[in-house]
Amino acid sequence: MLFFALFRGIAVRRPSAGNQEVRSDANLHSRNSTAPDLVKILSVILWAPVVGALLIACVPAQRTRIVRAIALGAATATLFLAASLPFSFDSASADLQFFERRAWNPAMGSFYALGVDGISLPMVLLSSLLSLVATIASSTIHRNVKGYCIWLLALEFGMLGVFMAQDWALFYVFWELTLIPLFFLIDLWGGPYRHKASLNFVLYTMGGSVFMLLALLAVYKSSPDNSTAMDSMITAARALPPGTQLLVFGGLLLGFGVKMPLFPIHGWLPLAHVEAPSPVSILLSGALLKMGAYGLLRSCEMLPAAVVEFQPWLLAIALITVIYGGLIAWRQTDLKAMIAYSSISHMGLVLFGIASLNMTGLLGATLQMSAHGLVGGALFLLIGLLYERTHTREIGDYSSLIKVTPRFAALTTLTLLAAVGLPGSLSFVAELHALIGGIQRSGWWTLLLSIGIIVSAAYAFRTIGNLFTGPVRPAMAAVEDLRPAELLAAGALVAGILGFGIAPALPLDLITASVARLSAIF
Amino acid sequence: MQGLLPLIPLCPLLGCLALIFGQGLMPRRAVPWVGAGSVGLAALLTGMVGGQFLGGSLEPVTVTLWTWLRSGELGPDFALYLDALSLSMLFIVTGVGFLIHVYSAGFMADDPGSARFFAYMNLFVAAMLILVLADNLVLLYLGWEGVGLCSYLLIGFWYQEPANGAAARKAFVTTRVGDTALALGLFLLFTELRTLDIQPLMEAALNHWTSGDPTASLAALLLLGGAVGKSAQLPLQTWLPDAMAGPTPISALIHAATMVTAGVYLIARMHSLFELAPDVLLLVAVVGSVTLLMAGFSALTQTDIKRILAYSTISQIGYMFLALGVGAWPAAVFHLMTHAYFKALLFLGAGAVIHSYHHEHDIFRMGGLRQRLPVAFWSFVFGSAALMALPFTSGYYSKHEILLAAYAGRGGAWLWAGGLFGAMLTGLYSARLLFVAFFGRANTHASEQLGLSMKLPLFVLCGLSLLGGFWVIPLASVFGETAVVPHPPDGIGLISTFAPLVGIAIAAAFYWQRLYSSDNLMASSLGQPLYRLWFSGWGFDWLYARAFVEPFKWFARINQRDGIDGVYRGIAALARAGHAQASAAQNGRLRWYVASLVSGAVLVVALGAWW
Repeated sequence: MLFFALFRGIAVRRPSAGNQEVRSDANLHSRNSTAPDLVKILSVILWAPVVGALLIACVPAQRTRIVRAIALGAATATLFLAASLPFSFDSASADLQFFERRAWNPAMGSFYALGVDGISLPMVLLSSLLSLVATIASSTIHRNVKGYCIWLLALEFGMLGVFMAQDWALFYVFWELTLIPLFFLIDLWGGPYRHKASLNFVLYTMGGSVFMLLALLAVYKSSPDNSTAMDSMITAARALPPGTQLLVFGGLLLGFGVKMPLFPIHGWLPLAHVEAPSPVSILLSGALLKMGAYGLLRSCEMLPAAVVEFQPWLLAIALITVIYGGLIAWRQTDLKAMIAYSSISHMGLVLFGIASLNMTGLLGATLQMSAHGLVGGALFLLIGLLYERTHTREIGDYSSLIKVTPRFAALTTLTLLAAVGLPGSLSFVAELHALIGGIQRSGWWTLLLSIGIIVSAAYAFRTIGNLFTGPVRPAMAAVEDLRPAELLAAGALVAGILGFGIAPALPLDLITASVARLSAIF
Repeated sequence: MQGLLPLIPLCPLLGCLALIFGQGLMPRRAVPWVGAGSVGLAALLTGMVGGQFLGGSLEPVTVTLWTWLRSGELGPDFALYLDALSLSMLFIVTGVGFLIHVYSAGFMADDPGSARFFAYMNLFVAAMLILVLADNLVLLYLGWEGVGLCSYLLIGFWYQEPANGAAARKAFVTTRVGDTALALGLFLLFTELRTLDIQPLMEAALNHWTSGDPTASLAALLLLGGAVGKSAQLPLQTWLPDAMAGPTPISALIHAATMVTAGVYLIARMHSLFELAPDVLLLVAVVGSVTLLMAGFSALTQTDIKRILAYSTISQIGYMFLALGVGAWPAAVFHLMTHAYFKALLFLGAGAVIHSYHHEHDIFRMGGLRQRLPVAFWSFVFGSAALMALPFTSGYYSKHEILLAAYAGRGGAWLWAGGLFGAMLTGLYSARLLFVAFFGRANTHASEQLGLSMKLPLFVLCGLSLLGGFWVIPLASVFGETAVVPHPPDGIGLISTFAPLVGIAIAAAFYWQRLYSSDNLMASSLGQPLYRLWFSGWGFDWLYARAFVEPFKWFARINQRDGIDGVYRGIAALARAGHAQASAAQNGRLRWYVASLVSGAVLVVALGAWW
């Protein structure tokens, strides 16, 4: 019923759409503080991976060294460009920065509009960093390197687009765009059950996206500007009748919740993580899950009244996700499955912070997005490299690795400790904020969350114990330690986790103003 | 002084980093020099800072290093706070810590992992120093978790033995239960009082709450949860006896002198809050008394020399909790200090025995070590004398204060009687250990081969155990003058003094003169189950395994495959079944198609007519 109404709405509005452009134009500028730059830096960053992919397409497939070099170059260039953003980013302002816009589909009132604020900038940095790490880790891929590198760069393009887009239509396109590279990366380069995993992944995400699309269309239909620009959509969404707002938020929650993922729609994640080649797991866990959390934050901004209504449910889902993920993680014997379930648990904490709907909790949620990006990325990187050496992911097959691979042991242990939220890591700062924010809203329900914290200690220490200690086994006596490039990649992630844990002022500065603006809505 | 204070935790931290990154580059002989040297430097600095502080007005000093995180009202800094209480802890951590490091240089000389060992040890000392110097509870929590982590790493130091790993894991997860309570206490305090800086927090608590306020009690209770976890008190005491799997210097440093007393320090540091919660304070005293008795009984039945000392540690920390609970704050800290001397001495002496005796732990397989291991013997004599609180030893002064305070305190005679009986038990189990291991029939194959680096710390600690009771840091500037205890009648003091002698006499009758046989006692119908109960530490491991571990494992096992997936598998199966039905209909038989067509048309017409 709703479906037909939506289509009718679009059909009616379409002829007049073009005339509305000027009005929405003015609206878009309201959050744009800086004058448009001559160099559109965000576009440069966004398209750099595409340039790399096109270059690779021109190279013959058997010249794998050149292909790898181009991929590495493109990812490095993207990271360097992205890393320049914080220097000219005004962290005191909550406005969109580096904003750029051009009409994209005038008939629909949609724009190619890019911009970052304090919430999306860390995600852009994280995505480009993890893309480079994944490219470095891809030295273990030997089959059809050319195709692989192209898909990997395409994935980076999609991810960066999601975090930069300031138009819901553009956002949706990028959102779906990430599916295609991922499908092929898992389906062609994955493990033994890759076909099942890739199909599962696409069906789950598409299933969620349908509801998200419906929700967005419902808002668009009522938009007075007849535009999909995020600002117009905010005005439109808040003017909807309360019942509709609830439905719309429910749809968005389903769409983003699948990606995060939240209990009980997390089923795709363990399979996809386990079957994906390890560099893809890094991106999947480190950056792609954050797209869900990021989208949810944007939805909260759009529909504050509905979020407040949903709040008890969000808290309940968050608590269940944290504990449920942790419990299953503890029981897994496959290392990648263990990290996958622990990711679910950690993303539950992000939702817990979001659901607190106050400054401290939201800060915790956004910090946890970065923290888990680094932790999850580092864990999948290290375990992936380990798998390449031993060809087993069964936790029971490992033993006493500290003897032969001290660097592996040190970095993995540090990362797992950060996953537990030990003070001194960025995860601790994030957890501290999320929990303090949450306790102000949910009171003693937070007690339940403490079960999750204890469980996380149990699975992390079980892993450390099994991997690195125990009697020396012949099969584990000749494992090669980290090579320099790998050490650099893993070391950079761990240094980030610890460095920002000791001096969290840097990330906090970036995000505080934007989070303050967001939390002021509720 | 402000300039020197941050260097104290920095020294061992740098030592740790040097040892980690210098692995393979540093000559083997340099390792103990770096490891012990960095702590020695910290001890030297502590001596300088302490001299200035005690010579001055005893005014607290705060040094802010940098802003850790500042968001909204939450603003903990990296700031250090020095007053008489933290100075007392500094002396213990760096002083006794240094002696144990020197001892380790000899003890671990042949171990291939000695660089790793010293790196962990230095990291531990740095974390412990941050814990005791922290100006706010978040930084304290950083140190708190840091020492827990180092404890984990060091218990499982000999990692090839799976049992050690299990003990390490048990220690971490059990204390983590307490840590979580502590964290929740922090959140509650922050939510209520909007700050986590300890001094403003205490002021705010005094302004905000009256005595007996339920929120204050809840906060104190949660902090107590953290304290009992770290200090191995009831009901979270089960991890400490197993923690003896680590190398013996670790047991001396972490599981006797410093980390396990962190809970005592926490309560003393937060004493204003606990004074607002008299009921919780009484609970602290009760926990202490019950723990000291239960652990005393358990110590009586152990045969492993280190496990006896472990239960003895639990029991002695019980005394500290008893002192805290009756408000005798200085007595608790005093006993913490003397306990650090004599328990470190006992553990290091035990290490000397184990070192010289082919890693034998069972005291009943020793015997007659008096002549063969004279240094270890005298260490045990002095250490045990202080542990038993024989007059004029350091332990006498501190334990005597506690017993008198308990008598005068709120719990009155009951708490005192418990402490008294515990003192008798202490005499009994300490003398038992001494008589069984060092007296009696001389056993074979033990010769003392201790280098100077192992002997010297033993000598110094012998001196401290004997004379340490005469050196008291004035704590009135922290706890106020009101903490002075009124004196009970003389008889009470006399009885308290003689209690351990009763225990020694019983031990002498059973284990030295062998007038009675302990075997007969254990074989009796009452003795046997009691022996088993005490030997197993009152069956707590069994209980926790049934109540928590098994249900947890059971749930995780039944849900290993993630039951929620079943729903989606169901949907997929349904779709597949629907597909099977639909494709079965497409069978190419014209008759079927026509029949379906006709019956469909009839149905539609019929439905239309019906409406």
